[in-house]
Amino acid sequence: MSLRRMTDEQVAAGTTVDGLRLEKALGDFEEYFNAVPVRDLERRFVQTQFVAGYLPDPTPSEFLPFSQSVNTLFHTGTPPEAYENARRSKGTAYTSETTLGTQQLLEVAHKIVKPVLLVQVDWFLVTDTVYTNTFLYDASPPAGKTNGDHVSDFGCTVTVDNRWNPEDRSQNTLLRKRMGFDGVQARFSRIAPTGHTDMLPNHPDTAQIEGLAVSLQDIVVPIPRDSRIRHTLALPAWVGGLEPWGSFPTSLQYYSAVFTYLEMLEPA
Amino acid sequence: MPKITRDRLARGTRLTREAVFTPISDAAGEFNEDITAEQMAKPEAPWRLNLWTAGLDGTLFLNTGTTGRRGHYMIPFTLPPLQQNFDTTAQVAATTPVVTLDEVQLSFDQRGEPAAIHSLKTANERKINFDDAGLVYDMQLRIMEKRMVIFDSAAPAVPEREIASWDIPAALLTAPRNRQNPLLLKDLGLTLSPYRTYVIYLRAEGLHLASGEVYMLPSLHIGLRGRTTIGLRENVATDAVQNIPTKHNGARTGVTVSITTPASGTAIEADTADGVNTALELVEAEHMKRLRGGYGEYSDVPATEHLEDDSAYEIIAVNLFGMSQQIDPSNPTRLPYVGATPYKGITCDRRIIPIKYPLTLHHVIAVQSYLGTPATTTQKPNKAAFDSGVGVAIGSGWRADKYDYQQVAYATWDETDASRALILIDRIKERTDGDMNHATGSAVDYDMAMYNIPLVHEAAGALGTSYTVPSAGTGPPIFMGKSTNDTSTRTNIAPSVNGAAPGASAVAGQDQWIEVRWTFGETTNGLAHAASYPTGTIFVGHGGHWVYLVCSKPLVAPGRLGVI
Repeated sequence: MSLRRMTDEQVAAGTTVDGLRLEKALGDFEEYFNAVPVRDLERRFVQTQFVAGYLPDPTPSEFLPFSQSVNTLFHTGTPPEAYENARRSKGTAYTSETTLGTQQLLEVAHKIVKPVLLVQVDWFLVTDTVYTNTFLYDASPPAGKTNGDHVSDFGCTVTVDNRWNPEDRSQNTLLRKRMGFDGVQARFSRIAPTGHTDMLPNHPDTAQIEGLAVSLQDIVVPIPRDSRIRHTLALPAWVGGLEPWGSFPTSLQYYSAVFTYLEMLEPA
Repeated sequence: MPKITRDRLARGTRLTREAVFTPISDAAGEFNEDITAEQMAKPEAPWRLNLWTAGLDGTLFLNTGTTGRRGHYMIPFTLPPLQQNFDTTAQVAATTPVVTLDEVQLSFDQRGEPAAIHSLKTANERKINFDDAGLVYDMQLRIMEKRMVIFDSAAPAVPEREIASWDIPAALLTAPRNRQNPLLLKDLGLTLSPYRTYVIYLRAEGLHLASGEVYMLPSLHIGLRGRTTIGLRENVATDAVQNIPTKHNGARTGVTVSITTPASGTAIEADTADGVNTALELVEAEHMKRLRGGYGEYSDVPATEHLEDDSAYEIIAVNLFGMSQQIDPSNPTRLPYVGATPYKGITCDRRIIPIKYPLTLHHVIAVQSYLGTPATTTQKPNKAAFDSGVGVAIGSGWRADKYDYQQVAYATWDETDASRALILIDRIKERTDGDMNHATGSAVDYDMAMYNIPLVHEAAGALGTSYTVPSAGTGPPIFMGKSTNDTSTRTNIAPSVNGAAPGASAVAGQDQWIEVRWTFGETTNGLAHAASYPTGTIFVGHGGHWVYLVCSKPLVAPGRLGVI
């Protein structure tokens, strides 16, 4: 066997074992052991959780912080000669959107300087007796859907801005997306809880969590340094107020969002 | 200080076995769970304070008040040491971890255009405007510091010192190419005191133009990132950790590597059983296999461990009632669950934080905001019938059949100075004689209050170490982590604050998420009772309230190495 990591000196059989070479080997050894490289640690990351979410006005009267995915139709004052991003989100478009309605997007952006690993994304759309959303199409469903179908026109994406053309959203890198799935797949629970004791302070309406949990779990997505990361939740707003989303889809549930990253140890 | 030292083998000195084998044996001894941060090339772990709120509305910056001065959006925070390092007299010791702030960033949803966003509750809500953007986005971001009232009763409510300030010209956010949104300021290297309150001041008066047009910063994120040195993880024997797997109780079993030292007077050889190469290989082999420590995703620890220091500092910021605008007697319909006028119901907001890797909760700090649009009438509610409550619990039942909660922290107070004082650790005011809130309705003049929310503990049991507030003390740290069958059996945890004896966790170790709740309401007269809550009473300030979960987090790994 040979020594490969701690020193370049080899003191194996067939080589001399003299003081000069041992001094070099032990010097390297001492230096190495007093500044153990991070690669030698089996677990060398720590997690960071980014928490977002809010409680919308229960009287459907506002959208913000959600806003339309299409920029060109919604402005005041002098319009630009050309919009930089007629569509501002990559990977969220769905069939027939332009004829039936415009998506509402909640975008959470942040920048990293050092590389990170994205390991989980969670968007909770919580309902109760005030925030009501069946997540089922009704008797007037959009094209291709029938009464009682689970909604499938919403979801989330994770994108990173293009390094050389950061303001052009069409050039973004789509890291992960979860769109076009039946809402029932994301139910927080399909079993009505019984017999549990609520935490304090008691929730005045519905103790247990109901609604959807749109998650990207068991992922390990490396994101390079100096990246601008954008997490987006996309909800539809069908023209004509088709149920269940209606005219104010953002007020039908309240939100929690958690983005979990791993970051590596750093020098002092 | 180096952990391994040795005698130099200078030319001409006699080659002794001690000179060669002592450092190697010392190194092998370090594998017995004794590798510390000071002997790591990268001994510091990052923490992030991610302050996200639904938006900052321009009505905060109305040019009103007694002096016509516009307000600031403020977010106070503090970074207290973990319980094992906490000093109740705020003395910073040599063992107190140094908290360094490296980065500050600001971002909001600008819809991918160099434009301003019309505010909510206006006819043009969400629409973009290119003409005004150059006026709207001139901003200033500052970080201020102040002494905490809990440690110094003479500490003023107004921050005393500015530690950093940045002017943000609109051009950074309205340029046609390479806009700085997110805007990131890095390489700060600021050392923060663990016993001070820091306050982020954001001035963005352009959001309310003289023309009367109101704009907004939707999906506002102010992020801080810093470093602390990693340290010892908690265990039952020294920290009385609640809810930790009994399989290991947080304790470590070291790695034994035996170095055979040649007998006195024998030759120093290479590859024999007592050879120097053999000894060096034994040590190197441990490094090649990688040094073990930290936790797996399901709360287990390695069977044997090399590391002594494998735990880092974490703070999770949670925004509640972040409804962009202030909530006052003119708009209680914005609050769910309060019912119809006179709004006598209790309202509630909650956030759900899935548990990915284990955390150990040490402190819960709440910040109540009374930040009103500057006016002579702004005031805090002052009624014993107005109750507020903050709670944190571990939940189980997500895609599972055992729905339940295990309480981990809780406090309730009413809106009187006497009640707030029971848990109060600091008061924050924007500026002397500021108009964002007044002493009216309260004997003390401040805009925001910072509270210590105690962890659960038995009334007659051992306490943890935290701020010394007049109310019940806090409990020992609480482990929160997912489990397998092996790690689902946990140490006892108290069911409530200052209550019954600890017992088995209500969620039986099946920790899936952390839930944070804030409730408030007035069930006697209701929020619309003008005699109790005159015009100008602020129920929730601009940007909402905050809850901070101060935790330790272990070293972890993604993928296969990080699972068990």
